[in-house]
Amino acid sequence: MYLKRLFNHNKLLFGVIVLFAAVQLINNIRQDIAISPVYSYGMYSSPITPSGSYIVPEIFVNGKQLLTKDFTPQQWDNITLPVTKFYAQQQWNQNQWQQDIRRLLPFSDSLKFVNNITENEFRKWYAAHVQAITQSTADSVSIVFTNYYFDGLSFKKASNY
Amino acid sequence: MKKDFKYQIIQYYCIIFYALMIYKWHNGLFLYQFQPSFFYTRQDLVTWLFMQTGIHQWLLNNASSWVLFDIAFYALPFLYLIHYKNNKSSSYLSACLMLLVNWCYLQAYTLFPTNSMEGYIAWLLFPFVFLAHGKKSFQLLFEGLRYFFLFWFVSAGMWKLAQGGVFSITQMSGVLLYQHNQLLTSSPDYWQSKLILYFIQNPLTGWLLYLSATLLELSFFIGFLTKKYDRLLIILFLFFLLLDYLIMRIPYFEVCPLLLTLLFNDSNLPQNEHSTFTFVKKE
Repeated sequence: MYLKRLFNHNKLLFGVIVLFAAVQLINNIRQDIAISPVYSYGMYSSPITPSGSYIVPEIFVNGKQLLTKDFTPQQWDNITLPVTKFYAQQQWNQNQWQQDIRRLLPFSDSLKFVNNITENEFRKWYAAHVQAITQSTADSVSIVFTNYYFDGLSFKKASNY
Repeated sequence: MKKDFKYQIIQYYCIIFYALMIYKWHNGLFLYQFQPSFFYTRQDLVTWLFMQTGIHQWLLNNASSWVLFDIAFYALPFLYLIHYKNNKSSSYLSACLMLLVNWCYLQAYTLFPTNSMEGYIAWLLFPFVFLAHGKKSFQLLFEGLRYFFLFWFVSAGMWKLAQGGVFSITQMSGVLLYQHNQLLTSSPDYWQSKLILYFIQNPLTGWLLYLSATLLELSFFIGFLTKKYDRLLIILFLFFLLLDYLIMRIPYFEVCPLLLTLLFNDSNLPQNEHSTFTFVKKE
């Protein structure tokens, strides 16, 4: 048996491995906050029913929409994740600080955990970022969030905002 | 040197690492290419401790720091290989450095909106295994990593049972609509969109796919009982990665180094390796 061989060979290594396994198991059972390198691998494991509407970020360069099919999955993530994460980060980071970080750790300064980037700064950065990915010169880069719904056959546009 | 099991593993580790490096460079995922300007705080106790150092903020809008971090992260596996080849007894120093750099780099890198930390688990754990001093310690830690890999995959299947996703017929339709709404709205006539749309429009077929993935993940439990089927598990895992890429558009290739633990389990080692480990028992 593996653990027995490990115990006979080196008690310290045995202790480390058993501790790691125990934390991994307990963390998974408690569904707790991650403690690197202990994570839960439960992506898409909760029931997800088709939603009534989907807010889809659309990126336009020089008035022309970037199409997902023209990019590898990683390149596309590189284009869209900064947009979705930027607009979520302020509230998300602040919540992390308020609800968990300062409760669990003896830190009193939130500056390390929240950004101070403005939307204008982000948009300027993002225009350069998209130009680098698309390897094009962009006179304009715009981000539009469009509301779609799925009618059972395809996506239909609901409204822009 | 050819018969040195650890050296062999380091070589394969480097081959995978540098193949993925090219892949990441091609996709603009080096730090110097991504050029982060903000971060997204992760729910992770260790990450919060890391963030207290301020390294992630130092990396924002700081071109020289990106290059420095990229060079350190991408050079160290090769330097470690060279160090180990030339001086085994002191090579733990470069393994230690690689451990430190990998942890700092990945903790910071995954705070920027690029990828999740979980996918990089192999780069976090392998340096620990390389730290092992002595052949038997290495062999045992490497074997431990194999059990971790099995647990990781089985737990993904267990989560689907525990959370109930697998019991919902519309699960895969819901997942695909959520995952691919950008692809389906911007490129509806693309072949991949049509394939995905087929699974959405036929929820039962989609659910069977989800169920198959769950069963495939759970099948890794056999690895806890025997090493006899490890080669089969490798094929199943590669098949899973391929489908994950084609259907989910999730490139989970960074976990590939963990496949080495199935490929080089002790039942697959050449006979002389067995005798080496038996011989080294007294260390």
